[in-house]
Amino acid sequence: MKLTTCFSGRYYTSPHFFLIVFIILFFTLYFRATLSFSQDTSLLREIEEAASSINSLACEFRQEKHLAMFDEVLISRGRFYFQKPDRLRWEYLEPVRMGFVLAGRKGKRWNEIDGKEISFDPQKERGMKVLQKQLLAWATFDLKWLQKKYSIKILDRNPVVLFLRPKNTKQQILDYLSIIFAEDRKTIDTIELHEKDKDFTRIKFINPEVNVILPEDIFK
Amino acid sequence: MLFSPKIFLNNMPFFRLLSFFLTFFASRRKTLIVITLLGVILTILVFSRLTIEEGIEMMLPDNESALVKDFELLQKTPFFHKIFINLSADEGVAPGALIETADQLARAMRPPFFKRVITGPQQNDGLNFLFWLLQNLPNLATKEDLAEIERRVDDEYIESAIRNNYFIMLSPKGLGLKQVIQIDPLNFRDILWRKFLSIKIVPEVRIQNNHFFSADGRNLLLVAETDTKITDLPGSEKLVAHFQKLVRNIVPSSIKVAMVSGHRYTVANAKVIKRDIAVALSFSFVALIVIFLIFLRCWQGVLVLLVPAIVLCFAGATLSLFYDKVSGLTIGFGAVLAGISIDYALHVFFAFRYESASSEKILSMIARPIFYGALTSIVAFATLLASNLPVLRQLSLFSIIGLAFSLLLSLIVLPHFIVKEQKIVFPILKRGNAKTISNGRLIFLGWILFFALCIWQASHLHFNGDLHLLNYVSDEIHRDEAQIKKIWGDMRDRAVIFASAPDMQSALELNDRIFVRLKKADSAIPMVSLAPFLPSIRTQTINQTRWHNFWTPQKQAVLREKIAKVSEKFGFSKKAFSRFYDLLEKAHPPITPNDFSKLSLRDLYDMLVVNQATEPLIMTLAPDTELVKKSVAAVQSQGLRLVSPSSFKRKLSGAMQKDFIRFLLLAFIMVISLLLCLFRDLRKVFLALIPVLTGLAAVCGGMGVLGLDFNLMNIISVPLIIGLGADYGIFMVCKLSDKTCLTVSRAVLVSGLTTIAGFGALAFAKHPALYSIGVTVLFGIGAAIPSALLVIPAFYRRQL
Repeated sequence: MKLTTCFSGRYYTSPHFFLIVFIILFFTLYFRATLSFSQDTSLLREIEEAASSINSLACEFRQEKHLAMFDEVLISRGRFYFQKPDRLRWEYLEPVRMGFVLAGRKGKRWNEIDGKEISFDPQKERGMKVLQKQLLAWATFDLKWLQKKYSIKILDRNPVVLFLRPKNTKQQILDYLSIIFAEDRKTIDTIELHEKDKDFTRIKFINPEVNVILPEDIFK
Repeated sequence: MLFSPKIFLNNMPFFRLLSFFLTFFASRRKTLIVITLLGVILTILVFSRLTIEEGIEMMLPDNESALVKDFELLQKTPFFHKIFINLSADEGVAPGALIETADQLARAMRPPFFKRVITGPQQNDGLNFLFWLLQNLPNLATKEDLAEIERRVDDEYIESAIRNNYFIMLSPKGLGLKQVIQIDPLNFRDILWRKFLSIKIVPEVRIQNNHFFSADGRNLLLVAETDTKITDLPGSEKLVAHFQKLVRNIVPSSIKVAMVSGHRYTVANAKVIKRDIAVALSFSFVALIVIFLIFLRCWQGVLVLLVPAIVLCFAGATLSLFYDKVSGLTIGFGAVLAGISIDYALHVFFAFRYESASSEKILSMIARPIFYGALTSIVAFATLLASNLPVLRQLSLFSIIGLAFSLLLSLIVLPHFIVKEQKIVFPILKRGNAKTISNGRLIFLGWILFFALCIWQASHLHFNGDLHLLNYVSDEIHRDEAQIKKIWGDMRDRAVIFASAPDMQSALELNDRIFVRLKKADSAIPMVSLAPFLPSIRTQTINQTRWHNFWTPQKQAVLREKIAKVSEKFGFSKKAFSRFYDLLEKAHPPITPNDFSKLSLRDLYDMLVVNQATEPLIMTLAPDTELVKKSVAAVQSQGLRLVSPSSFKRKLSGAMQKDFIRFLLLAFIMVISLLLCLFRDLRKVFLALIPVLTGLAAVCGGMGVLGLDFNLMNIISVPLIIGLGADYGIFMVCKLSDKTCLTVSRAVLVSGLTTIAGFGALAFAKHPALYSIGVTVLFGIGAAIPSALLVIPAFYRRQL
């Protein structure tokens, strides 16, 4: 049957034609979905396993904020440190020096403008608590927690690109996240946080150093 | 001789009737036995079906006084009917596990036991809530708020705020705060947040994951509601047992659960009252057996011991004709009644068994003192009928019925069952009399000294209207209450100011007035009030007008220019804060109670507002201080009423003090009238009053020494001591002046011991109310008996 024949009046309008197309489409999608699901799960577990071997991490980052409330893209640079099980340091070096340390129930923040260092309990500050949980989940690739919070879709495998949409859309500012993993699949290369109002933030992690010995005072 | 039997028996219808019954039943003993047995069986049957009520309601005043209204209002306060459950996690338990357990427990707490369980504030969209708040800033901003805003529109503050916003936007926090900064670049939300905190009812609570957490994050609070009334004992028992079962099944051992609710008090009180009744009655019974073995030792003595048991059943059964439910405290008081009611039977027993005269003569000798003795006790108890406390009235009626029945049973039935004993041996009393005569002066001086000492110590005596003191609080409940108070702050002991008016807006206006007044008195006063968050429409209109007068177009233009200038430095676009400028311009409709439902804050609203059928009531919680009381009084509005546990306690103490004086005066007047009627001789009246005065002095002095207070329950000891003391006085004076009835001293001693057996039993009670009655009366009667046996004869001799 020639393709032109298909689209010539008789076949095109036939109900049988729709039925056949529907059945083929249904089964194709079904098998693809089943196959994709099992492959997705194994890939995600693979990433989780790779991440579990990371005890410490030190890297630089470059952050771009594409926000409508600013005339230009906000660009900043800094460093990120992680030490298992729950120590984090997120530090901006440019354009201002500021940042925070989170170590369990202890937290400290600082900025160069007022020169103050303020200690706090992350559990008592809702914003910092959420941030702590998110950063730890990404650093350790806590798949169980991530799957609870996000619908995860694999967009690409080499390198691995994940697409995550928050499950609770009602209270979320985020529309979706996209994450590009490094080639070794152990660390994240780039993360993009897309907001519902089309603003987005891109963070690129540079020169990651895995399982290096971090100075103890870095988290104090 | 004081009186001739014939003259006596013929001069009053009651005594003529006694004489008639004595003669009538002398030849019809079988008929008397049958009638008595049938009566006893009937009485026991009715008594066994008695419904006993253990609730606290019976202990509260029920007249139309201010105190009653205060108590009604106290019941409307946010926490009165709520059940508080604290889940305390051991070290190492993650907050998530605590939440999971709490949620699981809350889900299992279902009807019919629990109506609803509040695990945290209702889920609301934090951002939308903040926007709503900011939009309503013109409705809520007071003069002081505008002064604060004025400070925030100066160059330095704007520079600092915009720079801070820039840092936030640069950091990960910017993701969550972007919209907040757009609408509120100058942190006006701080002002609004303070207003919102004014409706934070639980002082130390923090909201974490939509749950009520303590500051240390290790305790989680659940607030439950139930339809089971606190006064419903079977319901409370089932509720508490069900809850304990749920805890056992759901909560792991690493999490401790503490529950505080009135139901637990009800269950604990009922349990302890039942135990006390059993202990008191058993002790009384054993003590009476001992007395029987020492003093009575014959089968007729058994009949004497049966009298109080029959009296108890009869009084309880008769009481059930007047009341649907009889208080457990009343029945507990049965032990005391048993101790008193046996007195008349003992006098009859000793007289008829050991006196050698004819039955008619014996009756003529003892009937009058017994009758007047019973009458003094009855009138003394009758004074309690004037009390505002239902339990005291019930107890009074119970005692009156019991004493009257005991009198009839002792004088009409008992004489027919007592066989004369020819051998009269009273060695102890004979020796006692001799000593009394020889040591008269010493006794007299000793008594004066004792009396003076008691009066001196009585100056330390206080009246305490704290109802909690009458509640039995087990160690477990006490520990749980203390824990919840320590963790969550003082929720129950704050003063509550009620604002009521015919309609909601008028009530809100009154609520605004009291809030302003209190803030004026002390701006730092910690209050829970709707006024900052839900002012009346009138106040909101004034606020709006003030807001728009403040934000003149010129002022707005200046502010825009200032913000734009600083924003440019940090790269903000020109439109970055356009939503903020809209806020300054636009008017927003006033906040109404319906907004609380839309904002998922209905629970908070319902805790502070009672929509009564007649008029709404709005509550403000404030510290229970003099300043607050004075400020409320200064507003001078009939719709305002301050109720606090301390003022309630003070008012109740005052009412008790008045009651005490009233009981005392009334009982004294009536007893003295009866004594005058009996003796017609002031000296004898005084002598008969010696046990009364000694007993009362001992009560006041003994309580003063031990630091005990008069409370709602032990003030009933006053009429009791007056009545019983007068009994002993009458018998002793009759004996001394009559000199024919040798058995009186023995009867007074044994009846005193039986009374102490009754009261001594209550001293073993765990329930504070029963215990306080027991200890107090023990002092009184303990002093009245020796004064009757020793002091009266000493005085009598001196007077002669």
